[in-house]
Amino acid sequence: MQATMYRINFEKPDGVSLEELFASLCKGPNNLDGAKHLLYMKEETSHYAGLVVQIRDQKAFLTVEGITGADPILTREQLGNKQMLEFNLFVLGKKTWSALYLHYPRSCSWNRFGILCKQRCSAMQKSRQEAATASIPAGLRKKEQEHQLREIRKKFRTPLKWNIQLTEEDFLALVQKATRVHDFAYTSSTEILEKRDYAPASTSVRSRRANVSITFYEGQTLGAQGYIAGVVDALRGKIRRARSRVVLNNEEHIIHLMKNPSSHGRMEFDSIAEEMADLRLSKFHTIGTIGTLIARARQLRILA
Amino acid sequence: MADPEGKQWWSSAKRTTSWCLFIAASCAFALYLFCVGSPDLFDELWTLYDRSLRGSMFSGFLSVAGFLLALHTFIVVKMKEEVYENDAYIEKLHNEYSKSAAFSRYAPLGNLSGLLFSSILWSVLAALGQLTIGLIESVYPFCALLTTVFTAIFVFIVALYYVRTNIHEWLDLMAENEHILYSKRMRERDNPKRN
Repeated sequence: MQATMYRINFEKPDGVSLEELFASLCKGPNNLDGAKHLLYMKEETSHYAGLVVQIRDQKAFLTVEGITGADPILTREQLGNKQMLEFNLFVLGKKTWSALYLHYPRSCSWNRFGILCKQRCSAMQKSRQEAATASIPAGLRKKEQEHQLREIRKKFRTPLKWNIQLTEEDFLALVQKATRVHDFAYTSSTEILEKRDYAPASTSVRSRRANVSITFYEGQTLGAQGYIAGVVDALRGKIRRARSRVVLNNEEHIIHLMKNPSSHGRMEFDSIAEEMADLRLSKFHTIGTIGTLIARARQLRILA
Repeated sequence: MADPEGKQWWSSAKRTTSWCLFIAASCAFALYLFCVGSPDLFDELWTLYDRSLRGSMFSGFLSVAGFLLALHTFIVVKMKEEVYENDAYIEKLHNEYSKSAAFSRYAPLGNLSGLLFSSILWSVLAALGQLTIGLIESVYPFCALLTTVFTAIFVFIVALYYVRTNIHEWLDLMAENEHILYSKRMRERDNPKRN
């Protein structure tokens, strides 16, 4: 079995900078949605390294945590060989705000990782919005107060958004689940190992926009799927990547459709599973898989 | 060193040098037109060159040629050892080009070597030009001399730019390897039993 690397690009939300958001995620607390998922992040000079843990057997996990205190060591002996935890590692570039997310089949998806970050971001936005609302002087007229409230709401309107790159097949499968597809536009950008005349070959992205923009809303999705499938077929061979905005579970995603997603890389599951067998969670960032992810992220120019 | 795509290793260097020569000749031609338009301008330029610039340019271009000769050997040998023979780089190339067109691993190094050689050659020509055609007080030889000087300067700048690009790639590769080694050491320290 192989784990696949996905590239996720984060877009800046209103009112909270991405630096503040990820610094806050590094500090914890790590259980963001009622202890079903844990997010551990460690800040380095040029990037963040992270680990998303999905807990299958909550009771068993709590027992383990009780044994080892604040720095849980998750060993196979302690877990009694129960498959109760799944790990997904990622690295996130500070300059590009792109993450390389290592995803195992049937485990915590890139979408869940985005949602976990968004939960913290929304909480920060909410607290700041409340603070800004409380600072409105009480003596103002009602109209002025409403105007200021509207301005504050505007400042915190856009939530955290993230983009993903998928294969054609994965993309079409996603479109079938989507409630809304709009602004379907192809961007023929190619991620290649570029041959150069005077320097070693280097990974780079060449972009050229070739848009086929359409808008479909709920109730028209069947048509959208057919149309998109047709466009994908028609442009097959000519493009490496396409871009579309899809609404899935009330979350809007910008999807980059890649012809060669394998260029992001895959890793053998067994080699990672061996590292994860006796993992000290506070030291997850030192394991070899993180090093491999960083090396790959550097090749893809995710890290400077 | 032949490139499987059919190009000889020096063809890229020749192309770059030709462009530099073309731009230099254009600059010299523009100066010639100015000189034809106002004869006093040539006299002023010649006086300046004769009194102050000839000696400095001669020694300057000879120094540049010597510097480039040393750099040429260093950069070619080090890049070959540290980048082109690096396992990670070879694997990256094989992954991308094994199925498609053949790609010579050392072709860029050959091109860089050719460009540095071209830069050395033009620097020597520019230096020698000061003591040969640089002694003739006439517009045509002066413009020919300026062409060699400008070409030497342009090729030198281009060569320096590509040397910088090569060193940048080298450092990138070193950083990647360093991090992988660091992670491996940390892993061994944390899990001594497995080793």
